[in-house]
Amino acid sequence: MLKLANTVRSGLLTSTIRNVRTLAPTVNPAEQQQVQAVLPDKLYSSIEIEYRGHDKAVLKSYTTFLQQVCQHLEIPQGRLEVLPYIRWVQPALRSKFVHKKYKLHYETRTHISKLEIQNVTGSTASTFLEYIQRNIPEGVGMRVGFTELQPLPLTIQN
Amino acid sequence: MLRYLQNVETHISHSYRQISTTSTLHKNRAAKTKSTSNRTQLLTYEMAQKPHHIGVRKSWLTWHSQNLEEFRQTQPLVVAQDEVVRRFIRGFFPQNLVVSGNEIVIKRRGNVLIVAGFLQYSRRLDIRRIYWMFGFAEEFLSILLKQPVKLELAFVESEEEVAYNYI
Repeated sequence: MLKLANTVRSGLLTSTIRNVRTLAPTVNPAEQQQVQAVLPDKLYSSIEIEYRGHDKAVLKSYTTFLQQVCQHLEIPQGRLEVLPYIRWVQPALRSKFVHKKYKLHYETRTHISKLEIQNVTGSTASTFLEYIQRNIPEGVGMRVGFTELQPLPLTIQN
Repeated sequence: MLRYLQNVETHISHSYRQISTTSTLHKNRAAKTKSTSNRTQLLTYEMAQKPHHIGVRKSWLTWHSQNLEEFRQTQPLVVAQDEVVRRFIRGFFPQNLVVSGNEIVIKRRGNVLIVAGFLQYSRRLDIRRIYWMFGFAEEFLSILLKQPVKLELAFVESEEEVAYNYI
């Protein structure tokens, strides 16, 4: 029996040898003092939705959609911000060779809008975001920033 | 040997003589349409608008968020995929193309790629065949691009229906 256990252990040892050596945790995580209070759900004081696209009218229509969604789902809205558009310009020669006076003007404009949502829970936020992201028009990109509310760490509270 | 050569010579003399022609050097550029004397050149709405009308009177043929500022993560991939899709559609529906398949719109929405545009059925309308081809194209492109592809191609009777102007 002992022999068998030895062989098993050696087998395990050989199989678990890795090239990367990691330090064993000095403290057992179960015994460690809890630092952060456990909350039933996340709380967001504000969610900033930034969306941008090349077409101004599409963005405007999507803004209306967002505001309607917030209104119907009774999610408190923050301020709506329309940022100045980013302009990219590339003048190119109209001819293949020389004639520097005559140029072609290539330009793209990226329009940016920001909408803020206030005081939502984690589940509401994920549901809302999934809904609006599934309905995003083609050619519109979105970036979402969260501001989360958390109580002070327990070590400070006590 | 000599007789053989003579034979060849007679053959050559019997064959037609033609003037070899090459295509003329046009100074045509993009979006510069050349009018005909009897106004038979078909122009769709897309072709009738000038490049500086893009984003004002007409819009883009591809819609995705990878060309936005600070959102360019896989832009080259998207461009390559667009070309693959366009070429496949052009090659797979050669009899049904309208204006040689230059106006296929590709839209990306989340993970889904949607191909929109017009096709014609002027030769014959075989609905079963068209459904099969749609299914095949969707399946093939989905497997190729590893993302769901949907065809939203509308059918018109003939090319004249998409005409906006004749010049």
